[in-house]
Formats: sequence, C-alpha cells, structure tokens
Amino acid sequence: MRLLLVLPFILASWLGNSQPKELKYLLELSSDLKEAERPFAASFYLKEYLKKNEEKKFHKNYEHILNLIDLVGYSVFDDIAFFDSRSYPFAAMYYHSLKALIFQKNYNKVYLNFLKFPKRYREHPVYIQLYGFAAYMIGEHDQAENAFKLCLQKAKKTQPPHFMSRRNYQLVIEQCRVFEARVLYKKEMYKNALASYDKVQESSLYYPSVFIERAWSNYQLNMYDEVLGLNLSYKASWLAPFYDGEIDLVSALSLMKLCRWDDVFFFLTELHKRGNRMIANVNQIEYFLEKLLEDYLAQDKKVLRKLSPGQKRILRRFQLNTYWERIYEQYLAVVKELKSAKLMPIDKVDGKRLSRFLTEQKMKITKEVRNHLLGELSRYRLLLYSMKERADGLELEILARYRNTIYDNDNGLETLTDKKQISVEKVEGVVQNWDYNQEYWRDEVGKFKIKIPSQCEENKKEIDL
Amino acid sequence: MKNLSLLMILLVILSAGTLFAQNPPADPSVNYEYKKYQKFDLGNLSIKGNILTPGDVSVRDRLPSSITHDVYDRKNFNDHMDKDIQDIR
Repeated sequence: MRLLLVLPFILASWLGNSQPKELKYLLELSSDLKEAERPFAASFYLKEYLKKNEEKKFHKNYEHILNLIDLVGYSVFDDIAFFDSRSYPFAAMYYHSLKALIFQKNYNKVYLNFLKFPKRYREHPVYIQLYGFAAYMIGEHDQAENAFKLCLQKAKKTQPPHFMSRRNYQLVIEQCRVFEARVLYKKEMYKNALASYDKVQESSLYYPSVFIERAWSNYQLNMYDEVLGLNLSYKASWLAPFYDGEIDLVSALSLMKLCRWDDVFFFLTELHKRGNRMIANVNQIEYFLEKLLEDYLAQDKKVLRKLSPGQKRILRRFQLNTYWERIYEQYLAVVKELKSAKLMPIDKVDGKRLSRFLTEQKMKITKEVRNHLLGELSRYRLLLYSMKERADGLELEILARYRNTIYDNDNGLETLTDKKQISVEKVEGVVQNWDYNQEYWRDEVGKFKIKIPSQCEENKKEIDL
Repeated sequence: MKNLSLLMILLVILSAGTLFAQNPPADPSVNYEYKKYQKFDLGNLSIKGNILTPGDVSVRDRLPSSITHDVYDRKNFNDHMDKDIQDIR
C-alpha cells in the first residue's frame, strides 16, 4: 500500500531526470534572452547552467557571464561560490576580489594580495588604485602616494579593462588624482595637495567635495582670503544640494584666525539656518520614501509633485554616482521583465520558477535601493548635525575670547577697533559668452578672493589656537 | 472566651470617652493681637562702624584663566575617500 502511494512521486522524479536540460541548451537560452534584453531571465538560466556545470569550465563563455553580471549585479549570483575560487580565472575576478575585501574593510589583505598578483595587473591603474587606497587606510602613506602617482602615469597609455565601462574607468582615474591630493593633505603637504586639487576638472563628479578640500588646504596655509573666496564661489546654485555646512565652518574658522569675531557669527548663523532647513527637508524626504518608494522609482508625476524642488535636488545629490545608476537601471529592468514574464516561450514549470526568481530579485533590488537612499539621507543628516555641533563649539570659543578681551581692557590692553573694509576681488574675468558644459553653467562658479584685513595686529596680540 | 468579650466591651467604653471629648471653650478674657506691618526706610538708616575691605595681603592678584574649546580641524579626508571608493561597484 505504502509503495503505491510513493510510486507516483518516484515516477515523477524519474521522468524529470529522464529529460535533463543540456548544459549547452541552458547557455544558449541564456544568451538568447540577453540578446532579447532580458538580462534577469538570462541570468536565471545562467545560474542553472553554473549549478549543473560541476567542472566549472566556463572560461569559453566568460564574456557572456561577465556581461550579465555587469547588467544584473553580483548579488544575483551570490549563492554560487565560483568567485571564491583560489585561482581567479579572469581579470575581473582579481578586481572584484580586491573590491570585496575593501567592502569588508580588510585593507591589510588587499595590500598583501595585490603584491601577489601577476605583473600585468600590478601595472594597471584600476588595480593600483585599490592597492593605493588600502595602503592609505593602513597608514602606509608613502606607498599610497606612489601608487596614485603610478596610477595617473599608467592611465595615459592604458585602456579600460573589458569588465569596466569607459565611464567608470574615467572615474577611477579621477579618483587617483583626488586620492593623491588627499594623501598629500594627510602628510601636511598642503601646497602640493592644492596643486593636485587644481588639476581636477570642474566637470568631475568629485568637484563639489574637492571644493571643500581646497578650502581646508588654503586654511592650513593661512590663505584665508582664498577660503572666503571659495565660500563665495560655493554659492553657485548647482552646488546648493552638496551643501553640508563645512564650507561655512571653515570660513568661520578663517575669520576667527583673522580675529574678526563679529564676522564669525555671520557664517555660524548661516550654517545653522541652512543646516536646519536641510535637516527638515531630509526628514520629509525620508517620510516620503518610506511610504511611496516604488511610486517614486516609477517616476509617477502625481507622486513627484509632493516633493519640493529643494527636496528633489537633495535626492539628486545621492543619485550622482555610478552605483545608483546601476541599481536603478537594474530595478527598471527587473520590473519590466516581471511584467512580461508570462509571455516567455518556456514551459509552465520553468515559467513559475522564473517569475518567482524575478519577484525575489525585484524585492532584493528594491531593498538595495531603499537602503542606499535612506542610508545616504541618514548619513547626510548626521553630517549636518555634527557640523552644527562644531559650530556651537566655535561659538563658545569666540565668546570666551570676547570675555578675555574685557579683562584685557581692564588691564590696559587695547580692545577691538573699528573694522577695516572688506573687498571682494574676482580672480578670473567675467565670462561673457556662456559655455554650457555638461550639467551646469560654467561661469556660475566664479573664482574669487576676498581681501579681509586681519584685526589681530590691531589688538597687538597673537592668538594661536 | 467570656472574659475576653468582657475585656473588649470595657476597652470600647474606655475609648469612647476620648473619642467624643471636646476642647474646652476659649477664654473670653484673652485678647490675641497680631504683629502690625513694619516699614524700614533704608535710605535714612545709618549704621555706625568701620568698613572693612580685603587688603592686598588677603586677596591674591591674578589674571583669569583663559578657557579654550576644541575647535574643529580637519586632519584627513578618510570619510570622503571611503565613500568615493564604494561608489564604483
């Protein structure tokens, strides 16, 4: 009796096994689906292929595999352990093995693993950049500086690797330039750092952060007129979403160094005012995304109207990177594929499994998108709060100095006298013919110098922090 | 048992006297007077005596200690680097 009950299952499993899908067929199907712009369905069959291909002989098809990975992301394949292979078969594996270690913050291992790589990889900018970053993070600043210099040197003659888009490769090179400047800043070689920062182009994705870093380098070199000039340039509207209060803080610090304590409060008030406005906007965006994320991702016009232009600009700030571009593209692709999954020319069993796979992938990517946006918003808010706290610390310091001058006055020392005139000087001439360059008006960002005389001499006393 | 109940009755009778006791009536011959409002004219008040001030010997002359706060100073841009490296995935 028991045998009769179990028999149908045995027969079914036998029938299932009697018609095994050929590896070749799976691979061809995957390839066809990729051609039909269905990368997720293609990766579903590719995964089937990789699971059944016990010998892991996929070296002949590596381009197809890597192209798919590039389209759908590594997370789709994270349950397949073929990346853990000790002998990495491809250039991309070398790169991604280093990148994975960086995400784990295992910088020592990156540093050591890179040195064991074949020479052709050790001399490629893409790998050198990761090595330089790891060297910097473990405190090997000289090594890091050399690495970034080598990266820039090699970049002139080297082509992007096959697994990386030309745009991402360009970003890697730009990072080498910016990272080199940051290493020099860390080594307190501020003049050299400034020279490197000046080479970063205005169209670069890193220009807004370089702006702040240049201000800090000038501050360290006691070139306060440059710092205040940069603050003026930072008022350009296209830089507004990148505001995090730091430019006002470094400007306030510069004025404190010039003993113009009344003027310090101008920047501190500005920081609090703009900071509070940004925090309120961030809170509203968070609330909005918690409720209407999927509508926002679908760019529903009715939903988008609920966001103010300022809020939209803040969100845009977190979308100006290749990571966002990639996950958003993946999201749109998986939603599209899920809608058309029923039209796939495959049998019912496969169809069900495929739509389950696509639903899982959609959930996974949505989660990734949500984590990215909410995580960035949360970090941004924390940054604004920390800048406000630092501004409060500076305010206390100024008040303490005011108090000291009162005692100094009692002791016969001179107090602050009338302020000297402030003059603004535009270093570069006004651009009459507007040159539209990619995403912003070039002449929006003027190069200014604000000549503010120090009042420290008036007081006849040196103030050192 | 009988003795116990008798004792209880006795206790109740004795305590009833204290419970229903009343205060003795106030003596009409006693007059209570409250303190009247008193005004001090501090301007006209004169105090006789010597004014004592701390002398140079008793007070140590010193300048107030200067208070310094932790003023922010950037030592590195590690946070920027960490974010940038993660952006390319």
